[in-house]
This record gives sequence, structure tokens and C-alpha cells, in this order.
Amino acid sequence: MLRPPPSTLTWCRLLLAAFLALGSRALAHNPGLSSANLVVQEQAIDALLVFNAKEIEALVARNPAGKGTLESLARHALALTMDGQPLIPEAVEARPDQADNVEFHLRFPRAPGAQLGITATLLDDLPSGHRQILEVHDAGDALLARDLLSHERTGATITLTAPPQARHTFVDFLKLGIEHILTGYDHLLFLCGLLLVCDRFGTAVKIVSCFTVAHSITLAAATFDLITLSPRIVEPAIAASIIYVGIENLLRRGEMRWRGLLAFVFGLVHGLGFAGALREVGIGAGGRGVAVPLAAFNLGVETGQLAIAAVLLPVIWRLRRYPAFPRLGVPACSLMIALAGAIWFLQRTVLAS
Amino acid sequence: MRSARKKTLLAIIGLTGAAAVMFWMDLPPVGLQPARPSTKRQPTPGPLDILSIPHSGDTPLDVEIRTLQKAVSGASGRTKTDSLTRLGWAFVTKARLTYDAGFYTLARQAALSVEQLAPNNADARLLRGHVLHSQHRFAEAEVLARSLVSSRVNPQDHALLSDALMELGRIDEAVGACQKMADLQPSLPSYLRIAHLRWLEGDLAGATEIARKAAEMGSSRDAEPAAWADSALAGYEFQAGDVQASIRTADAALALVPDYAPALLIRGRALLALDRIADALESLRTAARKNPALDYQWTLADALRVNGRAEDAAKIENAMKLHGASEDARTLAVFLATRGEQCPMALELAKAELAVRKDVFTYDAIAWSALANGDLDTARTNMTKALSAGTQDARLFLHAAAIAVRDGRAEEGARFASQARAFEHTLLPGERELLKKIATQ
Repeated sequence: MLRPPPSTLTWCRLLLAAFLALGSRALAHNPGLSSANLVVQEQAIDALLVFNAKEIEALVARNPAGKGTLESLARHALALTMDGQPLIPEAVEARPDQADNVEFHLRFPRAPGAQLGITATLLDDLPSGHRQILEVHDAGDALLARDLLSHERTGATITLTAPPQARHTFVDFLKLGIEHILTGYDHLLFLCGLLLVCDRFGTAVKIVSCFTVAHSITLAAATFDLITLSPRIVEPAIAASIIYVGIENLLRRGEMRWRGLLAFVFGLVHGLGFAGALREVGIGAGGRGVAVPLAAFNLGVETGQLAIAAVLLPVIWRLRRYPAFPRLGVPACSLMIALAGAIWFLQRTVLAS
Repeated sequence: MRSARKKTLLAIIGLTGAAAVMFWMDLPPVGLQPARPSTKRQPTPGPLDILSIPHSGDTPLDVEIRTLQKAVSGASGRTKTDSLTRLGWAFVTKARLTYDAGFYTLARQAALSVEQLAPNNADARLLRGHVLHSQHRFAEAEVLARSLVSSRVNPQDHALLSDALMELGRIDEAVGACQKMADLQPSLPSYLRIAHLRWLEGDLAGATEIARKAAEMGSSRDAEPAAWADSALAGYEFQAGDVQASIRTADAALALVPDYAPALLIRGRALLALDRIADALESLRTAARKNPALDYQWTLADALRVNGRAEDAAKIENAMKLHGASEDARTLAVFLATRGEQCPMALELAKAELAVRKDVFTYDAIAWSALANGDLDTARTNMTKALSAGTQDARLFLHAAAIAVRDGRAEEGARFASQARAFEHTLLPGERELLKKIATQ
């Protein structure tokens, strides 16, 4: 039952106490108000933090660490845990908006779990009295929680009512593997490049097997955290492998002697790229239950690969019956593959924002 | 075939080289499309959304705030706007009691909510004006107060106007507004305002007399206002040199509200003047813990230094330097100039404050930090403005003496130093040392 509003006496007391402050010099300042908006999605948690630009400028001025300070602030502006396990942001952006604010965009991988711990870590560095409005939404825009954070209480724990729905079963991870290879155009193009010059079934089996064995090794090693290589190295390397296979097709004109080794070496690099997809759903790097998802995902990748090879090879062999194909078609396709690889390479290095 | 191998080898070397350069240059992360943060955004929460977040705490005021929040959510029309206004004032009271300026932010949300529902609601505008004043937006507060004063008869509107004008350095106009407030409602807040204005104009005896009347109006039933009035009186008694009386009055305030920060500060300063350092530290430590304001921290740091605890003092001073610019730029400027540290920044902070308020203490801060930077012209001009109201304050006289001495006006310097000595007990230990040095020059 609602209690009645305060009596007139209480009301007068509030006003009296409030107006006493004016009998002296003003004591306060404007400590600021920021917001943190989280959207809990199936595979990731997106966070948008908005601060007044002046507050962030003051923080940067206080820590003049040089290049990357703003991004570093953004990276440390919010700490998330799932069932007590820290989540590491996998993408961070900091940019000004048009209303004299600075926006921090962070994406965290969503690990399995129900207790989402949120800590506004920047509050300790902001003026005392700063408040941060925290809102958590689900993927369907439903409000899961709203809270007001301050110096005294910098965090909150939200119980996610619906546990992660996706990628729980063997079949889910199998599908994820198939989906990843079918929509991973860079992997597909590399495979195309390898198979383009194959004229025998046995050679194709050998190349696909070498590629499969190699990427299985690095996928497993990366998922079990035995190898850790930054995407800033892996992704350009994958693009470079595509350029290489295109150029080699052009230069070596069907020479198949080293193709198995080539497929194996670059397969190692592509495996590290596949591991990134598993990390996005919280497998590996602090996630739990690695073996079954890894096996299912890998099987899915192989299934996808075989399906592509099964479609592609008959077409290539059919085309090879025409003399113009090896002479003109293969070089033209190889050139396009190399060009696509070069574009990806540039996008993932010098053009990356 | 050899040529093809050579080209292949060159291609491999080229690509490896490019990758090595990228790695060495520490290029930004690659734009991994699946890992880019979402650009989808939710609508920004409005003032009512913010106010709907349940307040926490166990004090009677906290319970009252939660009750008002529920009343707001269940009401409509006039009942809702009234409840929102009361909620806003409750947050103002909370800010005042906890020294947490974040509650002013919430009070502002309450005022904005009312004004959204009922534009031109005078009570909400008064609330917003009060928040503007508390957030040092004095010029905006004055505009709002003037429009309120012209539209209705309410002593609080005159109070707001008086306070804004006082900070803007227009003391005569502030006195007029305060007189109207007192005419409409002789009360503890109006008496305390008059006392403060009298003190600003150099009438310490008059200020003390009126503050005593205000203190007599206080009652233990409304303990905090009474404690505030006692603390103000203790401050004037301390200024007047009646240190023992000021300790007694501060103790009376503390009997009403235990650990009341303003009373503890005055008590601590009075004990410091009596060289009872250990007792002073006890009061000042509690005061500084309760109220993070820079003048509280500075007083504690100076007391610790006197007590030979330079390391503890340095910790507090470092925190002041770290957060002071955003919390209280003017006090930080005076502190830095007194210590002769980061003097250019001190002057910059003090000058920036002039855009916000033009009272005697801002001119003093500019003058003092200009002197620290060797800018005698700026120091002289601003010191004249700082002294123009006739305020009898040891720190003002100390700064005036230092400027006059450095300016070669030895006689004037000696006169200001003598005036400062009359109130020497109100200076911090570090400032007392400074005064001794100036007096010997």
C-alpha cells in the first residue's frame, strides 16, 4: 500500500533545510550525468556509453598516455562478468557525437550464464557525485533492468531470465560450423583458388585433406588457448593467403607438386580465423565446455567444405574440357581471386578503422 | 620454371615483409565485421525514467524519497507535479546532508519532469533555479529568479535572487533581495543570509548578532537547520577571535547533529588556532571524511603537516590536485598559488571562474594566482576589486599584503599585514607562516 505523501510539516522542513544552503557560499558543482546502455544479444553484449565530452577531455588530460588514450578509456569504461567470469571486449570504438558528447561502443562476447555483472569502472575517476544511468535491454528491446550508478555503488548484477538460447547442442555447433564456412567468403575463395587448378579427384582429396588437418590443428590449439594470435595478424594473413594462391595459380599454371604443403601451411592460418567464430559464442578464452562444441564446429566446417567441393569440382572439371578454360578462364579467375585477397588485405590493415 | 619460382619467392617475401611492417607499426585492430559494436541505440531515458529508479538508503529521508517516488508513479495531474516537486526538494536536502552533488542532478530531473507536464510551473522553476545555483550556474539562476519574483510573491524566490546576485558580486542588489525575503518571512534562513551579507560588507559584529538570532530560532525538532545556524554563528565567533565561544557553539551544533561536518570544520579550525593539534585533527578528519569539499581537505592537510605527517598530507593534496579542477576550481587555484605549484594552471582556473561568478573571493583567487605567476598588474587590479566590498577576512588581507609588498608599496603592505594579523587565528598554519615571512619583508 502506498504511504501518503509527506505532511505539510515535513514539506516545510524539506524546503527549510534546502534553502539553508543558500545562506552561505554555494558548495556544489555539476558532477555530470552519463549513460550506459547494454543490449544483451544471442551471441554478444553491445554496450553504448555516453559521456559529456568535457568530462572525457578532463580524464584524458589527467592521463596523457598519448596515442590511443581515448580508446583505452573506452576499453576500461565498463567491466562485465558472466557468472563471475570476466568478459573481454572484442571490439571497441570511441567517437564524438553531435551533441558535445563522447560515445564509447563496446562489444563483449556473450558467454553462457545467467548472472551478468556490470561495473562502471570509470566512475572512480569522474567527479564525486557523478551519476550513470544504466539500462539493460534484450535483443527484442525489452527493458531488463534500469539502475543509477554512483561512486558509492559502481555496479549492478542482472539476472538474465532467458539463458543463452543458441549454440548449446552438438547440432547447434555443427550448424554454426557450416554457416561459418558458407558465409566466410575469404575461406571460400581460398578453397576455390586451391581447387581451381585441380584436374584429378585424387589431387582434390589430398588438398582438401591437408587444409582440413591443418585448420583443425590450429582451431583446436586456439580454442584450448594453446595459441593466441591477435586478429590483427590472423585476418590480414588469411587475406594474404588468398593473394598468394591467386598469384601462384597465375605463375605456376597447374603445377601441383607443392599444393598439398601450401594448403597445409595456409590451413594453419585459416584455423585461427575459425577459432574467432567460436570465441564469439563464448567457447574458449574463458568459456566452458570446449571439447564437444569444438568437435561439432569443426565437423560443420568440414561438411560445408565438402559440400562446396562437391559442387565446385564437377563444374571445374566440366569447364576443363574446353581448352580455353585452362588457358584463359583459370588465369582470369585467379587474377580475380588475387585482387579480392588484395582488397581484403588492405581493408584489414591500412584501411581498418 | 626457375623464373616462376623466383617470382613466387619474391611474392612470399613481399607479403611477409608487409605483415611484419603492419605488426611493427601496431596498426589498429582490423575491421572484423562480425565483431564491430552494434550501432543500434535505445532511446535516451527521460527525467521520469531516471526518477523511477528506486532510491536506496535507510535514513528517514531516504524512506521519504522512496515514498515520494511511489507517489509520483501512481499519480497524475496536479498530484503528480506536486509529488515531483517535493521529490526534487527531498533530493536537494539529501545533497545538502550528504555533500553528494549528484542528488542535485536528480533534483533537476524532478524540476524538468514537472515543467514537461506543466510548463511555467513556478514551484518547479524555483527548484530548477536552486539547482542551477547549486551547480554554479549563477547567471541562469538570476534570470529564473527575476522572472519568478516578477510573477508572484514568495520569499524563496527572493532568496534565490539574493543568492545568485551575491555570487555574481552584486552585493547591493543582493541585500535588497534579501531584505524583501526577510520582510515577507522573518526566518532562520533569511536571518542567516542577512548575517552573511553583513559579514561580506565588513560588519562582523552585526553578522554575529543576527546569526545569534537565527540560532535562537532553531529547534531540536528540526535539528539540521538549527545545527547549521549554530555552525554559522560559531564561524562568526571564531572570526571575532572568541575561539572558546566558537568551540562551545560548534559543540552545541554537534549535540543536535552528531558529526555535523560544518560544525566539525569550525571546531577543528578553532582547536588548530589554539594549537591543540591532536584534538583539531580528530574533528577535521571526520569533517573531511563527511564532506569531500576542497576547503575541508586543505584544512586537514595543513593540520597534518603541522603534526609532522607530511606523507598523509601529501596524499590528500594529491587527491585535491587530481579532482579539484572539476570539483572546486577556485579553491584549487588559491591552494596551488599558496603552495607555488602549477601556477599557470592556478591562474587559468581562477580566470575561468570569473565567467561563472564575480564575487570578492573570485577576484581574490585571480589576484593571488596572478601574483604567483609574477603578473603584478593583474594581481593589483583584482585585489582592489576583492577588497572593494570591505570584507574583513584574514586570507584576503594576507594576499593583499603580499601583493603590496611585491609591488613596492611597503606601507600599504604593512597595513594589510597588520589587518591580517588581527584575524591570524583564522588562517591555516601554512598561511600563518606566509604572513610571518611577509611581515618581516
